[in-house]
Formats: sequence, C-alpha cells, structure tokens
Amino acid sequence: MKKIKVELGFLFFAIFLFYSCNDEYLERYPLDRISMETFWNSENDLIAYNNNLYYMAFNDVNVPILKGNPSGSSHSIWYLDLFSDNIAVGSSRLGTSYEIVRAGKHFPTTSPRDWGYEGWNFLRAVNIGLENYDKADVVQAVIDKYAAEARLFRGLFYADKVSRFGNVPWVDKELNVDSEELYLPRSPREEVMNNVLADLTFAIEKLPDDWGDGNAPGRVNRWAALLFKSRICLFEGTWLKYHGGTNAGTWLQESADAARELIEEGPYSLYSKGDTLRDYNAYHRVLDLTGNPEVIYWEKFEYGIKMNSTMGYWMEHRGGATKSMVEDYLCIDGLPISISPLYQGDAKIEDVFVNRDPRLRQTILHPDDGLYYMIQYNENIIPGPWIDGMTGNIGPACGSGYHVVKIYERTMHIQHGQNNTSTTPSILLRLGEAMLNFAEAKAELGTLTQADLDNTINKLRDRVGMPHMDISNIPVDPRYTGEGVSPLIVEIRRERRIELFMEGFRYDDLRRWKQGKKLEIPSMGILWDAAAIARYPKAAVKSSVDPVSGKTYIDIYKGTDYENPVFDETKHYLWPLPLDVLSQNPELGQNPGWQ
Amino acid sequence: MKKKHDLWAYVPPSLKELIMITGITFLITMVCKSNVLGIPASSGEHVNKAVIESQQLNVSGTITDASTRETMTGVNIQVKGAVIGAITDAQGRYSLTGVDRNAVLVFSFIGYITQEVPLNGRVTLNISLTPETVGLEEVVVIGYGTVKKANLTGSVGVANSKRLENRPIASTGHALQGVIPNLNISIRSGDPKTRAELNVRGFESINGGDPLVLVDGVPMTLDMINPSDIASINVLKDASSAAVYGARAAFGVILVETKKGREGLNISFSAETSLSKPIMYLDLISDSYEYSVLRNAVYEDVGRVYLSEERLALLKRYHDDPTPENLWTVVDGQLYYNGNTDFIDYMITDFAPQQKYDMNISGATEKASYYVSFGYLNKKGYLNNKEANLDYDRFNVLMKADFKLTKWLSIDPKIALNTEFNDEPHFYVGDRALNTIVRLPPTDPITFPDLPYYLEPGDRDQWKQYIGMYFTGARNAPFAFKGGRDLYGTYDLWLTQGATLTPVKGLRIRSDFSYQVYTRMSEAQQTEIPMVGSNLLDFQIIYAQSKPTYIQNRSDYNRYYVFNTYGEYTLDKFSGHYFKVMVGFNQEWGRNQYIQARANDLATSNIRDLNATTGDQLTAGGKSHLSLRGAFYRLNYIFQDKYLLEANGRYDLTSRFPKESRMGFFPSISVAWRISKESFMKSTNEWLNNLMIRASYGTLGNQLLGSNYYPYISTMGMGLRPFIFDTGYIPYVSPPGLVSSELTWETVTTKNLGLDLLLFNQQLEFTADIYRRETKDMLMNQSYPVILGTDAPDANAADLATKGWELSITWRDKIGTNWGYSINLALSDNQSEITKYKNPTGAYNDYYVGKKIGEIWGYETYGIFQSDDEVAEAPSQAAIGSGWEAGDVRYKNLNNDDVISPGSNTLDDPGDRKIIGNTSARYSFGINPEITYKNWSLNLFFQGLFRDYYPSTGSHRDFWPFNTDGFEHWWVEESWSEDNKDAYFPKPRFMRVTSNAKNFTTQTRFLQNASYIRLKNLTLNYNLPQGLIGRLGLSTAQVYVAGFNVWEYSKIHKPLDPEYIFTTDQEYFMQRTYAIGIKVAF
Repeated sequence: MKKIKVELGFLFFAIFLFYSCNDEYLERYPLDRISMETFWNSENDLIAYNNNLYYMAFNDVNVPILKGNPSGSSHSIWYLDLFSDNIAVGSSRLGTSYEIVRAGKHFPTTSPRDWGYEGWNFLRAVNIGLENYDKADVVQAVIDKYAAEARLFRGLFYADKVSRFGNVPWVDKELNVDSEELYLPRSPREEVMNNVLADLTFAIEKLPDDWGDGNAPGRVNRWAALLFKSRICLFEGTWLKYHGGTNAGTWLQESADAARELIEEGPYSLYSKGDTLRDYNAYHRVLDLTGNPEVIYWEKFEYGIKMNSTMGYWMEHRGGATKSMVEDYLCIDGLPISISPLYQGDAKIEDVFVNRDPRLRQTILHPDDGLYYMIQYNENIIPGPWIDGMTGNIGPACGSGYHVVKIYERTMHIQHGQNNTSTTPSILLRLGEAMLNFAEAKAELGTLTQADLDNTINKLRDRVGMPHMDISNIPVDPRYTGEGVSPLIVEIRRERRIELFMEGFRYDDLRRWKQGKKLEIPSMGILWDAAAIARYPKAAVKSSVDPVSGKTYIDIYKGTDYENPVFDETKHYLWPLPLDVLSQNPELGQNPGWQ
Repeated sequence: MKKKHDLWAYVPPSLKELIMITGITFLITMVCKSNVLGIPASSGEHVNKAVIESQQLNVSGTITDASTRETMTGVNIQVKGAVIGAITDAQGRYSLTGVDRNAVLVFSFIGYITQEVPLNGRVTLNISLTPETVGLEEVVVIGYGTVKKANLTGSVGVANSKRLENRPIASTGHALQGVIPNLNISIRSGDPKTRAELNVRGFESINGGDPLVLVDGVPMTLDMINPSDIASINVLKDASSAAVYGARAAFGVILVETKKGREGLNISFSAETSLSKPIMYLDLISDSYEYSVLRNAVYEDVGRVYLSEERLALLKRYHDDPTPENLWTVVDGQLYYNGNTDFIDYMITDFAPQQKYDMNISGATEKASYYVSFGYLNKKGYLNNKEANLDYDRFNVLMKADFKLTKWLSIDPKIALNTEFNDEPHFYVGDRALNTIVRLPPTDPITFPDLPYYLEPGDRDQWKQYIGMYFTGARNAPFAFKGGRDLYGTYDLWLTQGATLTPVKGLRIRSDFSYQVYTRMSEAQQTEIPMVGSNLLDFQIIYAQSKPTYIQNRSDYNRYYVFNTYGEYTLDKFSGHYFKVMVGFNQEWGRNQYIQARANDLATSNIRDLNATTGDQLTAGGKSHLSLRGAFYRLNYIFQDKYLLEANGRYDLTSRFPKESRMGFFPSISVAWRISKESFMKSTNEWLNNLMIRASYGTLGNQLLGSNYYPYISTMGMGLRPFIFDTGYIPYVSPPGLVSSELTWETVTTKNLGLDLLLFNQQLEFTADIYRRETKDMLMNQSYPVILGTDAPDANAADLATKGWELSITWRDKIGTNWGYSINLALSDNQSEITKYKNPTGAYNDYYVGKKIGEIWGYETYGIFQSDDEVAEAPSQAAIGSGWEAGDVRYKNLNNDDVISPGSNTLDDPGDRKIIGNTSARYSFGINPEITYKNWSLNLFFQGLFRDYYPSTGSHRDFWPFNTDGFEHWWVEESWSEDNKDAYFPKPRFMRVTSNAKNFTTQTRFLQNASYIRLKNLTLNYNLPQGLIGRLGLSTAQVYVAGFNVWEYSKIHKPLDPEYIFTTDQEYFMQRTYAIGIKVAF
C-alpha cells in the first residue's frame, strides 16, 4: 500500500508539474524568418525591401506600372493596343478582356481581377516602406533615395487607378482591419491627382540622376521619373480639357516642363545610325539595350532565368494591324494619303507601302521583307503575309493581312512555338515619347513653336527621313476636320500614333482625347477582292464593305461576339468597379452608366 | 540513368550505421534471448528427432464450442511438424495414436481461433474452441489503454487484421474504405504514391482537417506502414473516446496496433503478384479522316479550319487504301502524316504489375515475446515503356519485443523502419496527365518516319539521322519516355522504448519514448530532349520545355519525439463496484528542416549532378519547430456490470498560440446502461446476449493551422528573385502580413447516442450510433475591402453543425459441418450545415448561414432550342452568353423577369438559379459477405455511396463535348442536330472559345448522379489440407486469388468514374487489380 502511495504521489506530482509547465519548452519562434523588429537597419535592408517593389511592378499584372513582358501571360505591353483600333487578333484567342473592351461588351463582374481594381498589396508594401525607412541607421539623403522610389511607385499606381476608375480612395498608410479608411467613400479625382503630383515631385527631387549602373536595367533614376511625370500630367491635362474640368493648363504645363527638362538636360538622344529604312525598329529588336542612347528604362530577360511568352503568343495570336492604322501613315511628301498625289492605293499590299513614311515598312510586313525578318523561313516559302486559315508551306498567319514586324526578332524567340522561352526585352521608357508628350502639351496649351517642333517631332522624322512638320503649313486631312481640334493637333496625335504604335498608348490616348467614338469603327484588314482571294488561297476570313470607300475589306471580328463595337460615351471612358468591391464597401459607389 | 537504389547513398552515414547496428543488435538479442528463455532453436528438427527416439502416446479427447458448450464435429487436429492428424466425429471426439509425448497439437476449425497445445505427456486432451467472432470479452484498444468490448461506452469502430489480409492493396488506406461506418476514405487517384484521404463522421470544419493517426501510440502516416503488420485498427469517433487526445482529436482518432509475438515459434511467408489496368470509359474516334471531317465541322462555328481540303484528301486516300506508301506525304516541304495514331496504345500499358512479399518471425514464452517482420512492395506505373515507367518500392521493417524482466517490470523495445523509393519521368511543364495523353488527335504523328526519300529522291542519307526522333506534336510522349527522372527516397525510422510497471495488484504504470528520424532525398533532373518539327524546309531540332536543363536536389531532415507516461489503477474488490482511474502525461516535439539546391545547364545529359553544371545556381532552405504538451485522465465506474460511467479529459498546451491563450481543457463524459444484465431481462438471456444503450457528451479542441507553426507571429518574406535588374538573382524582403493576437481554439462538441445488440449466441451483432456535432469558433477567412492590401488574419468567427448516424450489422451462421457464411453491413450518413458565418452580401458561392455543405447552385434546364424562332420567343439569355440559336441550351425562367440571368449571385437575388444538387456523400455503405466451405472461403466486399456531381467545365476537361482534342464517338451520337433533336448535348460547338461555354454553365440537365456501388474486393482463398502440408513441415498454407475494384455500377455519364471525380487533373486513373498470392507458415 505504501508503494501505491509513492506511485500515485509521483503521478500527481507530474500533474502538478504540468501546470507549471507553460514554460520555455513551448516558446517556439520562427527559425528562418525575419520580423519588422529585426529589420530596417542598413541601406542594404532598404535596397532589399525596394527590390520587392520592383519585382511586383514588373511581374504583377495587377500593378501595371512597369508593365513589360511578364512571363507566361498575355499581359505584355505589346497587347495593350488590342484595346484600341490599332491592332486586332484573328479568331483563335477571342474572348480575352482585350476584345471584350474593344467591342464595349464589358460589364461589372464580381471579381476585382476582371477590370483591374486591385494591386492594393503593392500600395500597402509602399506605404509600409514609407513608414519604416526612417528607422534605418543611415543619413537622410540615403533614406530619401529609397523613399523617392517608393513615392514614385505610389504615384504611378494611383495615376493608373485614376485613369481607369476616376475617383479612387486615397490611402497613404498601412491599414488594419479596424481602419476607418476601409469604409470611406472614394476620394475626389482632383485630390488624388494632387497627391500623385506631390509624390512625383518628391521623386524627381530626391532620385539620383544616375545610380551608377550604366543604363543596364537598374533602379529608376530622376530622368525616368520626369518622363513618367510628363506622361501622367499630359493624361490629366488633356482629360480635364476634353472631359470638362479646371486647371487643365496647370497639368499641361507640368507635363511640358518635365518633358523639356528631360529632353534638354538629360543624357539621352534618339537612336540613329543614319539608316532611315532600319533605325526606327532596329533597337526594338535587340536583346541587350545597355548603352542605347534613347532608352531610359527597360526590362531585361535572359534565357534560362527570366523568360517571357511575348513573341510566341504574339505570333500565335495572329494579330495584325488595322486598315485604320495603316492609313494613318503619311506619304513621303508629308501629306496624308487623303490628299497626297503620291498615294498608290491599296489594290494589293505592295502598293500600300509605296511612297509612305518608312516607319510603315518597319512596322508592317512587306512581302519582300519576310526573309530579312526571318519570319519567312526560306526562299521556298510562299511570301507573306499569310492569312488565317491558309495552310501549306507558309509562315505564321495573321488575321488582318497587315502582319506586325516592329518587334519581331526570331533569334530572341529561342524555341519556336514554345511558351515562355522568349527573351524579348521591354522598352518601358524612351526619349521619343518625351518628345511627343512635350509637343502635344505645348500644342494643347497653344504655345507650341517651330523650334519646339524642330526639337521634338522633326527629330523623330529626321530619323526616318520624313519631311519636317512646318507649323505654318500644316496639312489639313479632310478625314479629321470634323473632330473639333486644329489640324496641328491632328498631326501631332497622328505622329504619336505612328511613332508609338504597339507601345501601349492608343487606348488611353483615345479616352483622354474623348475620342471613344473612334472605337465604333470596326477593325478592318487588307482589301479583300477577287485578286486577294486568289492570292491567299484557303484564307478563312470574313469581309465587309467599307462604308467610306465602298470597297470590301477583311472584317476581323465579323461573325463573332465583337462584330459591332460600341462605345457608350456616358460610361465607357471609365471602367466599372467590381461588384464584390462595391458590396464590401457600398460607400464607393459605381461609376456612371455602370449601375 | 541513375537507378533509384542509389538514393540509399544519400542517407547520412551516421544514420545508415545507426540503422544497421540497431537492426543487427536486435536480431542477435532475439537469438540469444530465445536460447536463454528456452525457445527451441529449431523446433522442426527437434520434433522430428523426437518422433523416432521418444516414447509415443495414444491421445484422445472431446472438442467443444467455448461459448455454447456444444461438441463440435469436423474439427481438424494436427500434430505439429508431423504427418499425423485426425478429425472429430459426430460426438466431437477424436483419437490419435503414436504421438510424441512432447508434441504440440494444433486444433483448427473455420470460424474459430486456432489453438496450439503442447501435449506434455497427457493422453486426454479436451479443448474448447473460441469462435473468431467479435465477442464481448474482446479487448478493444482505446486511448492510453484497453477496455473490454462489453464495457465500451463511447463510439469506437473496430477492424481487425483479417480485413487487410489476402487483398491486392498497395496501402492500408485502400483496405479500410467502407469497413468502418463513418470512417470515410477517398482515394483520389490510382497512383500508388497517393495517400488515402481519411475523414471521420463527415464535414468537420470549413478549414478541412484529418483525423489523428497513431500507430502504437505515435503519430505516423497510415500509408507508409506495412498492412501485414497491423493487428487491429480502432477508430475513436465521438468526443468521449477521443478526449484523451484533446486538441488533436477533433477530427477523430485512428489507433493502429501492430502485431505481437504468439506462443511457439511462428514463421510465415507470403507472396503476391498482381496486375492493374486503368479503368477508362473512353471511346475515341481513332480514324484520322473521320476525326478531321468532324473537327472541321465543329471549327466552322468559330470560323476556323482544322485541316484543309488537300489534307483531307490525303487522309481519305489512306483511309480507303491503308498502304505504307499512303502513310506519309511531303507537300511543299511539309511532312504530312495520313495515318491514325493511337496514343493510348502507344503510351499506356495494358497491365501494370505489382508485387508484394512479406515475411515474419514471431514467438513467445512466458517471459518474452518477439515479432520481426520484413515487407516489400513494388509497383509499376502505367507507361508502356519498361525503361521509363514509374517504379515505386516500399520496404518495411518492424522489430518488436517484450521482456518480462521481473514480476513487476517489463520492457518493450521497438524499431520500425518505413522506406519508400520512387522513380518516375521528370515533370517538365504543362502536364503529364493521363487525361491529356489519351486526348490527342489521331492525326498527330509520334516519331520521324523512315521513308525512301523525303524532299527529293536520293536524299534519305541526309535525313536518316532523324529517324525515330519524336515530333514536338507528340506532346507528353518524348518527355515521359526520353526525359530526365524525378526521384525520391524517404526513410522513416522510429525507435521506441517502452516500460511497464506493475508494482502491486491493480496498478499499472506505462511509459514510452519514441524518436523519429525522417529523411527524404529528392532529385529532379531536367535533361534536354531533342525533338523535330514537320517542316522539312525549316527543319530544326527543338528542345521545347526541356530547356534550359537543370538538376535540383532537395533533402529534408525531420526529427520528432513523443513521450507518453500514464498510470492506471483498477479497484475491483467490492462486489459490484468496479473503479478504474487513469492519469497521464504526453509531450511531443518536432523540428523540420530542408536544403534545396538547383543548378542550371547540365554539361551533358548523361551526368546528372550539381557538380556537372555550368549555369546559374540557386539555393534555398528552411527550418521550423513546434512542441506540444498534454495531461489527461480517465475515470471509469461500473456498477454490477449494468451501469457504466466514464469521464475523460485533457489539458493541452501548444507552441502555436501565444503564452496567454496556449492552454485548452477538453472534458467529456459518457454513460451506458446494459439492460440485458437487469434481472427483469432474465427471460431473454437465451437469445439476447447483450443489449446496451450508450450516451456521451464532450468537447474537443482544434488548432487547425496545418503547417503554420507560428500563426500569431508576424514575419517578413525573403528570398531571391530572378533578374529584376541586370543579371542573375537579387535578394528581396517583402512586407509582413497581418496576424491576429486573438486566435484561439476551434471547439468541437459532440453528442452521441448509441445502441449495441448481440443476439442468438452472438450470431447477430448490431451497433448503431446517432450524433450531432457542433464546431464552434472556426477560423474564418474574413472578408474586408480590398484596399486593406493583404489577407485579413483569420478570426474565430464561424460555426457549423453536423448531424449523422451510423450502423453496423453482422450475421454469422453455419450450415451443416462444411458450410459457413457471414455478412456485414456498414452504413452511415451525415450532413453539415453552416450555423454562423459572416457573409454580409449573402453571396451564395461563399458560405452562409443555413448552407448545406456541398450545395450545387445552377440553372434549371428547359430543354434545347429546336429552332431559331424559339430562341426569339424565349426570355433573353444574353446574360449567360451571346449568339444563341437552334441547338443551344434553353434555361428555365425561374423568377419570371423575362430574362435568364445569374441575378446578383446572392441569396436574395439568385436570378434564375437554385440549389440543384449536393456533392456531399450520403448513405455511404459497405457490404461484406463471406462464404466458407471446408477449406475454401470466398470474401466479397462492396462499397458505395450516393451523391451528385457537376463536371468541371475548365479547359481540357474530359466530359464536355469538343473540349479536348480527342473526340469521343458519343459526342457525335449524343449531340443535337436537325436529325437528332432529342440529343442529350446541345449542338457541337468548339468549347475552347469562352463564349461557347454558355451551354454548359451549371444546370440540371448535366448534373450527374455520381452514386455508385463498386466491388472493391473479391478474394477466393483455399487452405491446403493439413495432411498434405504437414508432410511439408508447414502448419498452414493458403493460396488465393483476389481482385480489387472488380466491378461497379453507376448512372454517371461516361467517361467519368463516380468515385474519382474530385481531382481536376486525372493524372492517374483508378485501377482494376487482379492478384494471386500464397501464404505459408511453419
């Protein structure tokens, strides 16, 4: 019996021990993670933290502020023109958001994914950075450099949101589940854009001219921030001017000033080797842009480490330029095709290129250029373009007949037909855009001079051997006289469309110019007469009569859901907020026309 | 190619030595001990000698049934190791002559436990045999202890080793399906590596969760252990029986006990070989011409052409005249294949073999027992290529012993080693799914042909080098057959030392300590695979996704320990009063770590090692740890065997919560009334062996956090990102997420009411339980406005209630002396409903209060539009899609608003949708009849359930017509056309165009009845007659043939398998398996 007592005593002792056992044995902290308390010490910490912001900005399709060629998706900048009247795809990829928006068939859905009302994790990362950079044990000037990066990114983030949704909630601190900001109404556009301007101004003030990386793709510098600023301010200035609003002039002036500073003080110049027939697209088709004088910021890829699908997808999408796009190129006399005596018509595709701005043939495939671009594998192959549905010994097919070659470089497309094996770099910022921004802002302000033109647009024209734009002798294109803007502005916009084709500007440009109605014109391709049908056997395309010329052209979206595009001016300039977002915070309110 | 067994080379030398030394020491100890303890070194030899030399006896006796006391006819009596034997007569008597005085007699009869009795010089030996049935006296393993079945007050499901024997199953999980009511097992794939998914009593939490599996008291993976080593499996289903496991028992507990040594020296060996074949209900159009004509017609819908007229003409030429000359054509430099590729035949073997070998040696004396077993399983995959096929091996070693050192102390060491090796084709990119392999167009060629000439006569020499190379169009084939390998080897070693103290009568103290070392070495080899295209004018070698090449090694090294100690004191002195007290303590600790290294650009495909690379390198690693501590108790009180009371409880502490909220207490109580023992029931004792009602109530905790070891600590992400800037990889740190400081346990409260019945001399056994389980404070993903910018921390904010019942009925009988049969039915059902959830918008695709788990929302189908006029007259369906015309699906207008729409996807405004079905399994059943005749036995096992299913409409899913590149005959036969207006499917449309999915949005027409009954097992077993095997020196010998998944019946539309519908990629189909096996014992 005594033994029992001992044993039981031992057991109860064990239980007693147990109560006092909530000890260090049960304290298990992470072994392979760092925390906010142990971070934020050195400049290296700031660098590592901001590296993540760059990564998200490059790769997160929801944060399209440094949108390059994210791997394995069709979200590259080269697709953005699909929203517009510049390009269209054949039937194989129908149903993506591009065609839906192009046709005005979008509607509010539940998921924030669908129309881009997301990426708030990026904003949170920026705000957390801005609240903590100060903790690092480094001088203020160093902290400011990284804060400037973060504020630039925040400005870009909000400019994108405002462009799409108008008013958006402004958040400049880390939120928690009990933050009242979660349930506030949207902030007025004006307030948000003023904050954006402040962020951009801070960035331009604090970012270095040069991070010492030799223009290899590195961190954004002050010049990059200036170009972003001119882009954003031009958007806001023209938006206010054409959609109604105050202070348009201030924004336009900010845009012009930023662009001028970059053009005049920056270390950049247009890429030109003196070959007017090659220079325009030559640098869009090289792997390494290090040291390129025109490129201000770009994204680099390398086989085996970071690759994209851009080339493969683009070829397979059978995308092609539209008739409207091709017809906007001037003739070599500097006149639009509507009035130039040099225009040879479009009876066959070769005619289209005769006497035209050399940029056309560096953008669209001429039948004689297939071998040069290696898009036509060898001389035994029927020369392009190759139209959807054609079979046999042909190159990659295209929907419109105007096969885009501006960025095509076969050697960067490491494995043909294989996804995610391309190394096409993305040019995110180049001087050419700054020149166009400057000219447009000044023209909108009414202060454009011949010297301004000579310093900008005429330099772009010199590169391709086109005659100068003469402010005292602007041609009047009868096709655009009804648009309510001066022939000068028509020509500057035309120049922008031509020069920046497929670089992702057109849809935003049409919206800020309040020219959404242009999207109601169906996307046509090459002339589709008996000769064409005979020339492109088995082509499976549909055609329509062009109401202006009375001739028949390929009608790319005919027979699909996107056949008759609409653009409702009362709602389509802004995108709808997702329904889930609205139900989480009804105070936000839906955009006009989308209720 | 690196052979899989080389992975043994990766085992750290120290560990290897440890395994070897422990193993050898153990074996030596066994041998020495057996001599010391008086076990004959070789009993067979010993007996043979004895027959010749020793005095011989005449033995006789009577055999009776231990439960009925009636004499038994036909009982087999065998002298162990000799050719002498006898059978009892009609009066149950037997006699033997010339038996050695030291011989051992073996008494066996079908349905009864075989007994071995040493003669020890006796001439009369009367024996009573105990039926093998689950008697009331049977001991059932419960948490930290055992209990007589009669005294079980909680809900416990029991399966003995018989359920696992003679079945061609790769792992234990497969064998348990349908055996224990409400132990729900889903097997999601036919891949031998796939673990069975276990669930006890249905949907438990919106966060999912698995039952706790304990093998001899320590947490192990059920599918890693050798089924042959299992003695019993007990499932603790209600809170009362599981309470001693506290915070980890919320999803039920599965207790597995391994076998122990039996008296004498027992050596047994078994071998089984089986063949498996994927169960596929495909009926593909295999003729290229027929296929292409059809595909062109479908493509017309979207304005595309699959093959041109010229190509069709070529296909037709071969179709009409299948000569080799017509098989290939070169047109404009393009190499065209005009034949019919059968990818299934090319890629998939008819039968995948599996082999299983088991050997065990066991024995026991009064002082010691031991059990040593070795098991080996090898299974091959489905690929029709010996070199490339998946090859899976499992080795199991189990060594157990129990030494009674003194009257009051015994110790029991145990070593368990479970290893797995797998060698399969490297997973490149895209998929390796069987689903894709079998759904390729018959028009695609596989390898570069051998032709007399290619572009022009005489150029064969130039092309010869490419003959036999794969075309890129051959999809998975080159990757599976010619690529690198994915390999892994796991070593799961458990070392246990237990000790039992019985210092005084009634007191038992038990302690054990187990230490686990788990290592896993894996390797992925991405080697290059040269392939070719079919354009001879632009001919090039294409590597596709096989480049860039790389090698990746990962090694995991985990350690875990479990310490249990408990004491129980039984007081049975006072008549009618029985007390038992148990208190105990449990502590567990685990630490995981891994290192991973990858290097790009293998110098050559033949050498696959990190050292033989030239490209970028990337390394990663991580470690984590956790600890648990618990104290528990159980009190039993039984009065006059009639009134039973049990109280359980456990305090738990976990490192996963902050100090303040770390402790949880989980009590339970259960009572039972054994009515059959009451005096007023005396008159029924003749036929009513047992009648008991049980009730229990208790609460368990759940710390459901998966691998999230530190849910309350905020940490920042870090690592390397590829090439953000100029080159290579750069480091990054990402912001921390939000964490909650208020996390606490989910609690699961169960009420259980049970009934046990045993009738007619234990011939009919009936057990039923009904329960209600409430899960409170489930961790819930809280939805906040998106501008929060991160996931909100989970909060304990949702409740769930599950109602269910289960029953098990067994009937056993004998007909005459030769025939016996039994049948068991297990049936269960449960249904869960959300009782609290924050869903302010009432979105029905989220959880909401009142939602039954598994609900399917969809449209009601009105029919198929038979004309365009009908389309015009019907309510607009524009909200679902555009371009409606004759042959498309017409939906029913449920809310009378003139349009068919999804409304706002909320409960208040569901548009024209409603609940059309439920995917939760209902009325799961298992039926297990067994028939015996003399030495023969036939065992069948049917399993099934009832549920609905709506096939996924994602791309390449195999149910929907024209959704993949392989076309099924029935897609054509059952699709709408002017001539087939009653068709099941709408008119053929090319599904991969998003807008064409409009016809297949979730609706009643295509809702599948996924109920099924499947013959899971069929075993025909023959015991060789004792007379024959005795001469061979064997004590038993069996031969059996068996089948697994032999037959099924379901109303589900082909090609779906009703049991296997929840995986999105059908990587590995369910398999039918046929096996033959032998089992001998000495």
